[in-house]
Amino acid sequence: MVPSWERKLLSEGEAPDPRFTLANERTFLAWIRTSLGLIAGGIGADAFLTDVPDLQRELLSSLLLLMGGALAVAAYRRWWASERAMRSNQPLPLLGAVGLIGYGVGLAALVLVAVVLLAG
Amino acid sequence: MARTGDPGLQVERTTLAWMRTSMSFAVVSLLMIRTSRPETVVVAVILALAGLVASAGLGLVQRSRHRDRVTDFNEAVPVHGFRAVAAGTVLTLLLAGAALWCVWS
Repeated sequence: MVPSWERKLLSEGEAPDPRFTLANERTFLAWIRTSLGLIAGGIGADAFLTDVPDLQRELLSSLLLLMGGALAVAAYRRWWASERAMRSNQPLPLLGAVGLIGYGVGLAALVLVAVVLLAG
Repeated sequence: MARTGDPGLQVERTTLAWMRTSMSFAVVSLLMIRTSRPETVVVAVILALAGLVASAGLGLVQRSRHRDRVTDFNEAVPVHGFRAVAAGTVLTLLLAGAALWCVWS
C-alpha cells in the first residue's frame, strides 16, 4: 500500500528517468552530510571550547546545531521540490534557502574564530 | 551481487552515499559522549548509543534495498526513496535535538 504522502508526490506528471531520481537522492544525502557536519561542529564546540565562557559556548554550539537542523529540513524540501519538478518536466528549483544557509555557515565560522580569539 | 546494466553505476553510488551518510551519523552520535556536562553524561551516552543503533538501521535497510533497486533500475521501473529520505531527515533532526539537550540540560 502506498502511503497518502507518497500518492501526493506521485499524483502529478510521470516518473522521470530513474537516473535522475537517484541523483536527486544522492544530492539530498550530500546535504544531509553537510548538516551532520554542522551538528558535529555544534557538539564539538560544546565539548572542546572549554576555555570559552559557558554562555558564549552554549550559544555558539546552539547556533551550529540549529543551522544543522535547518539544513536537514532544507535538504528535504529541496529533494521534494526537485522530485516534483522532474515529474512535471519543470526546471529544477534554484538553491534559495539552501544557498542562504551557506552564508550562515560562513557567518558561524567567523563567529567561531572571534569567540576562540577573544577567549585566547 | 546482482548484475547491473547501469553503465554509470548510479544505484551503487546511491547506496554508497547512504553508507557514508549513516557512518557520518554514527560518528556524530558518538561525539555526544564528550558532552561538557559530567552530570548528564549517562543520558548523553544513551543518546549516543541510540544514534549508533539508528545509523546501523539506516545502513542495513539501504544495504538490503540495493539488490531490488538494481533490478528496478534494469527494468526501468521508477525508483523511489520517499520513506528513506523522510527517515534520514527526521533522524538528523532528532540528532540535532538530542545535541541541543546535551548543551542546555
